[in-house]
Amino acid sequence: DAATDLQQKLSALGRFSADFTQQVYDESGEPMQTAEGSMQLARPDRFRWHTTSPDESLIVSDGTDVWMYDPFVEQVSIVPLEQAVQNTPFLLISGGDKARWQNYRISEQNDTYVVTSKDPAELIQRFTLRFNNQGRLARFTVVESGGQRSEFTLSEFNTSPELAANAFRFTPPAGVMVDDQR
Amino acid sequence: CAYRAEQAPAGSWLAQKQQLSELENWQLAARLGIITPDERGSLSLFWRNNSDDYRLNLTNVVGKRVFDLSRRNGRIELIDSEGQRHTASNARDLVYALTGWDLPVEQLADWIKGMPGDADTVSFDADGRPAQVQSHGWQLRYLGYTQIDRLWLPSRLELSHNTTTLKLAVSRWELNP
Repeated sequence: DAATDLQQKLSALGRFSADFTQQVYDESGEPMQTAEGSMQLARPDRFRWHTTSPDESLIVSDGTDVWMYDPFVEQVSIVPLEQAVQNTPFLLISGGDKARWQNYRISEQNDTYVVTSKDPAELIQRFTLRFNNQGRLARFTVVESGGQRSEFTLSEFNTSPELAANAFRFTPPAGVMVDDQR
Repeated sequence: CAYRAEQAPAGSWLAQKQQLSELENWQLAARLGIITPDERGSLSLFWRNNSDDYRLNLTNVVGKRVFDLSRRNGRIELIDSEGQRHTASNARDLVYALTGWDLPVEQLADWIKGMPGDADTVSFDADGRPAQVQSHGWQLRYLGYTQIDRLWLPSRLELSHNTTTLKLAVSRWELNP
């Protein structure tokens, strides 16, 4: 069924890197904010999400904790992985823990997988993932109940990336405030 | 030396002051940093302004809406991150009540264009553009300008009031979109 297909497709992407462009649309489809950056991922649950323009920000998960670095205000927040899951759809992509999928319904329409939360309180109304014919993730979209949509399009997809030893670790630069929520 | 606007050298800020005050239809994308004693964070701002009507959308780094504040025909409405709608007669009070952030929306619509109020204390930079402004208890510092269709517009602005500091870095201006 769609759920097992999606999980197979994702687990086939054990490690990958890609560039992304992000486009936010309002509920009537008007484009608002845009951003660009690069990402690296290694299952389970380790990823690096580096937005480079128009402003830098960095999200790093080592599989246990997630660092959210915001150079604009010189602060890094650290949260436990499970707490980050609700508001970071990437963790569904990188997730190794099958249980996490129980609280989502998955369907497929012309090679786009639609993931909806069973928990009505969850703000992400719909999360879609589209793969290209080589099984690579081409685009994923977060749609909120209010209709705001954030579309991430991937390019330069590399399924055997050389990952730096500290790719999934983060050391705060000097002077950065640390907001440790663990 | 003081210039009357017509005599002000072309491209000088004084020459464009009239143009700036008439600029009512614009749109921008920016990073908004909010620093208070107990909170620091920044969000991605999209601001569509059409004379007194506006729409401010604040979205977080993963693209989720934090809030949408709009004013249409005098009606001020804020849609929060859970999709709940709130209305009020004053945008700054509404934002403060719901988020604890001091965001002087109506004044910011002029400040972000680099337009201080007539009664404000203003110091100018070497190019005659506002550098520091004191207005109603707010301290503004213009840290960068960019030129769009020969109009100088701020690209970096910091403003503080009591214990709140707001940082704005504008990445895109669109005039009369």
